[in-house]
Formats: sequence, C-alpha cells, structure tokens
Amino acid sequence: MSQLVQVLATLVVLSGLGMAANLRVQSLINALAAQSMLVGGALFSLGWHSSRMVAGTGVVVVVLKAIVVPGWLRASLRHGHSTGQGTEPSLSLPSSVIVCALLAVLGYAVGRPIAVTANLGTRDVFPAGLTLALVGTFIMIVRGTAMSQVVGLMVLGNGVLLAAVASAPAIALLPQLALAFEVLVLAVVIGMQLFRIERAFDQLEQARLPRGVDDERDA
Amino acid sequence: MSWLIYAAVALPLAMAVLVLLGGRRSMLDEIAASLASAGVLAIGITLAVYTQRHGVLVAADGWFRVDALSAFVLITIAGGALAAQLYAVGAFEPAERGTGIDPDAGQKFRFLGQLFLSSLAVMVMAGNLGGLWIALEGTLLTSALLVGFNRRTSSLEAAWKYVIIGTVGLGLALFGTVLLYVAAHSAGADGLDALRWQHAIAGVLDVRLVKIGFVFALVGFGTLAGLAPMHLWRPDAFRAAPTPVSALLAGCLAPASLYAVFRLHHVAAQSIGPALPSMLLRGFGLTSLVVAALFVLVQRDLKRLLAFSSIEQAGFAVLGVGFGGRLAVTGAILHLLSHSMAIVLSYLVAGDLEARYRTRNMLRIRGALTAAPGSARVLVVATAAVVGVPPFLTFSSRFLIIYGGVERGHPVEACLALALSAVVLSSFARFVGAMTLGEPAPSRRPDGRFRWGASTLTMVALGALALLLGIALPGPLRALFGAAADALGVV
Repeated sequence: MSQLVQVLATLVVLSGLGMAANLRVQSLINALAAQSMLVGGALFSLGWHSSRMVAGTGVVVVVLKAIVVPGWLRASLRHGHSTGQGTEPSLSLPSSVIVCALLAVLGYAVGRPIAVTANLGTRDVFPAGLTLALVGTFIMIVRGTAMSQVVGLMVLGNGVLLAAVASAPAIALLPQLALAFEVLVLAVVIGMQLFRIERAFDQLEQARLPRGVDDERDA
Repeated sequence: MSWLIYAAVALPLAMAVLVLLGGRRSMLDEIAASLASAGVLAIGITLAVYTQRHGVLVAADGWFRVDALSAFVLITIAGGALAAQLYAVGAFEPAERGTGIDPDAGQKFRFLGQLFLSSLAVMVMAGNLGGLWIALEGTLLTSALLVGFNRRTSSLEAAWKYVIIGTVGLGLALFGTVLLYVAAHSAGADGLDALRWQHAIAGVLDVRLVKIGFVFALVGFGTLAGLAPMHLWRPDAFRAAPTPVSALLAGCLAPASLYAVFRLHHVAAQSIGPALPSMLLRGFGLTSLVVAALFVLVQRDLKRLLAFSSIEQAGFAVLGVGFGGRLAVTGAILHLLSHSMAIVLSYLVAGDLEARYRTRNMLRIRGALTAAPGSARVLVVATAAVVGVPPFLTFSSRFLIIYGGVERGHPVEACLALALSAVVLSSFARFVGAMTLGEPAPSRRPDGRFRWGASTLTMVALGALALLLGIALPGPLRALFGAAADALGVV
C-alpha cells in the first residue's frame, strides 16, 4: 500500500509541473481534476488502515475537487460567465517550468529530511505536499486570470492537505484543519462565480483605458 | 467566569442574526449593533481585571484561553469596532449617497461587521494555534465581503486581491502550523495538546522543524498583518472599502493579526531561542518601515496614504517585539492600542472629508480650515496622533520601542526606524498642510456645515482619548500592559 501511495505522490508532483507548463485555462482545469483524483486516491490509501477520517477526506476531495468544482468551472467557461482571458503571465512558459522544477528540488530537499526527522511513515508524501504547495503559490503569482489563480489556489490546497495528512494520518486534527482550508478555497470559487470576477475585471480594464483612472473618487 | 468568553463570541453573533431578521434599515438595529460592540468591550475589560487577579482563564477544554494579552487585544478590537459602528450610524444614508452603495448597505455592514467582530474575538481568545488559524479564516471571509460589498468594480478588484493574497497567506500559515504540530507531536504531545501554547513553549521541540514552521507561519500571519513585502492587498482594500469598513479593518484586523504574530514569536523563541525569530521580526519590521516611507511620498489618495501609515505601524509593532526586553515589548503592545485609536480616527475624518469634497484626491482637497473648520481641526489632531507627535499615545509607544531597541543593543535599527518615521511625519505634514491651508478651488467648494451626531462625537472622543492617555496613562492600564508583556514571557 505504501508503494502505491508513493507512486501517487510522485504523479501528483508531475501533474503540478505539467500545470506550470500549460497556459490554456481549460487544460489547467483538466489537470487540476486529474491531480485532485490522484490526491484523493493517495489520501484514501493512507487512511484505509489507519483512519476513517483521512479515507473520508480522500473521497470528499475526489467528489469536490475532481468532479464538482472542475465541472462548474468548465460550465462557467462554456456559458461565458468567465472568459479565461487576462493579462499575460509575468513569466514565459520555459521559465515557469524551470522555476517549478527548482521548487520541486527545494520541496524535496527541505521536506524529505523533515519526514525522516519526524519519523513520518510515508516519507515521500510530505515533500510531495510541500512541492505542490510551492507550485500552487507560484501559479497564483504568475498567472493573470482569476480562473487560473483559483486553480493555483486549489493546487496549494492539495499540497497542504497532502502534507497535513502525511504528518499525522492517525490523528484527525490536521486533516480537519486542511479541510477547513478547502472550505475557504471553495468559498473563493463561489465568490468568483457569484460576483463574475473576470467580467468585472474586463470592465475595469476598459474603464481605465481612456481615462487612466477608474473614476473621480478613486483618483 | 468562562461564560464571559462564550458571551464575547455569542453577543456579536446574536446581533448579526437580529440584524439579518430586522429588515433593511432601522435606527434600533444601528444602536443595537453599537451596543453589541460596547458589550464585547465591557467583557474585555472584565476579563482584563479577572486575569490580573486570578491568572489565566481556560474554557471549552482548552480551545479558549484568555490571559492579560488576549484581554488587552480584545479591548482594542472591540473599541475599534465600537467606533466604526458609531460612525456608521446614518453614515450610509446622507454622507455616502451617490457612491454606488446599495440601499441595503447599512444592514450588510452591521451584519458582516458583527460576524467579523465575533471571529476576531475567537481569534484573540484561542487557546491553540489551530483555533487561531480557523478564526483567522473566518475573519478573512467576512472582511473580504466587507471590502467588496458595494460591488463597484474597483471594490471587487480590491476584494479579490485581498482574498487571493490572504488565502495564500493562510495556506502558508497552515503549513507552518502543520510543521509546528509535527514538532510537538514528535516531542510526545498528542491531539489538541500538540497545538496548545503551553505545550509549544515547553522547550522540547525539534529545532529545525520549529525554524521552518515558524518561517512559514510568520509569512502567513504577516500577510494578514500587512507586513511588507506581503502588504500588497492593504492599500487597495483600505481605499476601496467604505469608510466604516476601512476603519474596521485598520483598527481591528491589524491588531488582531499582529497579536497572532506576537504569539507565534513567543512560541518559537521559547522553543529554539530568540535569535532567529527576533531577527526575522526586525527584518520584516524595517522592510515595512522602508516601504511605508517610500510610498507615502507619492500618494494622492487620502485613504491609500493612511493604509501605508498602517503598514508603518505594523512594522513598528513587530520591530518592538523583535528588539525584545520589557521596554520595547511593552511599547509594541501599547502600540496596538495607540495606533488602533489613531488610525480609526484618521479613517473617520478621511471619510468625512471625502463626503464634503466628493473626492479622496488630496491634490483637490484645499482650504479645509476655511471651508470646513471642524473637519480640518479633527484632521490635524488625527494626523498628529497617527504619526506620533507628542503628547499623543502613539508617541509614547514609539518612544518605548526605539528606546528599548537602543537599550537591547540595536542602535542602528532603532535610529533607522526613527529616521524613516521622520520621513513619514514630514510627508503627512506636507499633505495635511496643503489640504487644510489656503482657499478651496471655486469648483470644489466643500459642504462646510457642521453637524453634531454620532460620527462627530466618535471622532471627538477618539481624539481626546488618544491625547489624554498620552498625557497620563492610568495605573490599571499600565498594570495591564505589564501583565500582557509577562504573557509574552518578557523578563
């Protein structure tokens, strides 16, 4: 079982690197769904023998982050509620891939000794979670669209969840905290859809072009 | 007495429900919302007295833990919330008309404001890192809705920026919490025990884990506290939000987030020694002072100017804790209160001027002393309080921090902080001088009528309090600062 978990953790890291190498929002959403499926699988495998809470968390992740939220985001793109358009990323694709590879090296260089020191059962899961959190943060920083920022946020959430569960799979407290973070991420997604954030940003950009400022009060 | 803890959380929650059921707008709701904040303030004072006489108060199996520091910060945030609620009585009707705020804005503000206060109360009374983190998450959600609730595009943009940066901060803070938990767990603690302050400071934790966990958590909590370079959300959010919301964020969220940083520093310093945690705090503090000093020079928007002042104050507070020692740490704790009062007053008068001149652009606000003398005088008092002119309370707290820094062997950092605060002071003096002196442009003649009301009384009371406490700090309050410094392990 632990070999399966290690394979899943490695695939999760590779999916994160793949996302950094992709600019299309549709592809990012698909990659997120696949990654969440892998994370959910890893959590389910980890919790199968030790904790029902962790196994249940895996199921929740698969349902919410691999099926429901990606489906909602795709529908939003299809119906034009979100455009998927935005400013150019602040780093080119090759540079993004190189930075993410370096982040993976950093994640494993820092995370693996921690896993060994703390005597964590599954030693590759914690560094995989750390790497994923760093890559998710990076995607959020360099991508200019609200949709891709949300995807980056969900990658960060996957990383935190994986690291938290790897730290103490038998104890429910940390997965609960990580789930609380997922609730926040979900609230952000709902907020983006309810307030039509990308449409609002398009209007803001157009309003700024001719006058240079939003309006008199915001001068 | 543990019922007081539950009451501090439940009172604003109950008021939020009442506001929701109460309809679009009623004077009764406005008064009741202010009374709820006043109730939390009274609970904070009672808890402060109790903790000084009987020690720490624990409730809910350790999920809540109130010592003198918690009680003091509760007093600070409840006072800030009370001032913002009082200013908001009627503020969403005549003064803010034409700003695009919907007719339900007052009700939404009271509802979200009470939820915000309740989550802040949980945060400062949390007995462990996990509880504090969960409460901070609730705070982020409610405050993001407050920033964007008038739904103008600029507000939505600011709220989005705040949510995204804040969520990354929370994610990193959670990562740090996980590492600190692992450190405590590997040292023998289990379950909730591993996250409790008492266990975390027992000094048996793994050094490397605590170091890495502290860095993650500091960056995370520092993001919400507005420390540079993670401050990017703050100027936009404070500018785009309606005036009472800006006051609420500056006067309540800032001290509560700084409280989280103080607690975290205490945990790390007790476990791995103060060298690294204190050095990082001094680094973030000085960076915040530099960023604030540079950016106040080029501001045109009054509310953005105040946001950078708020970043400067956050820098001063963490610098004080980074210096260590009784003087500087007491100064940092005092700074939470002094700055909260000064910045709330400043935002309230900025809102008043915005309503009168129909702009926040400082280049277009001229001749306030002639055209709106009451507001101009309050602006001068607020500016003196916020930049730390003697004898205001902010001067005392800054003096303690700088003097404490020199005393603890950090003269270079202390002198640098002094020089940077002089830059901020001169910038404020230039802007405020230009806004108050001279004659207003004929096309920009403000509404100069003086109105007695809750907002005016709130501003006068805040200004008087900031001045009087600076002249003579009452004995019980001095004792509370000492006890709060003790709670941070200062000897």
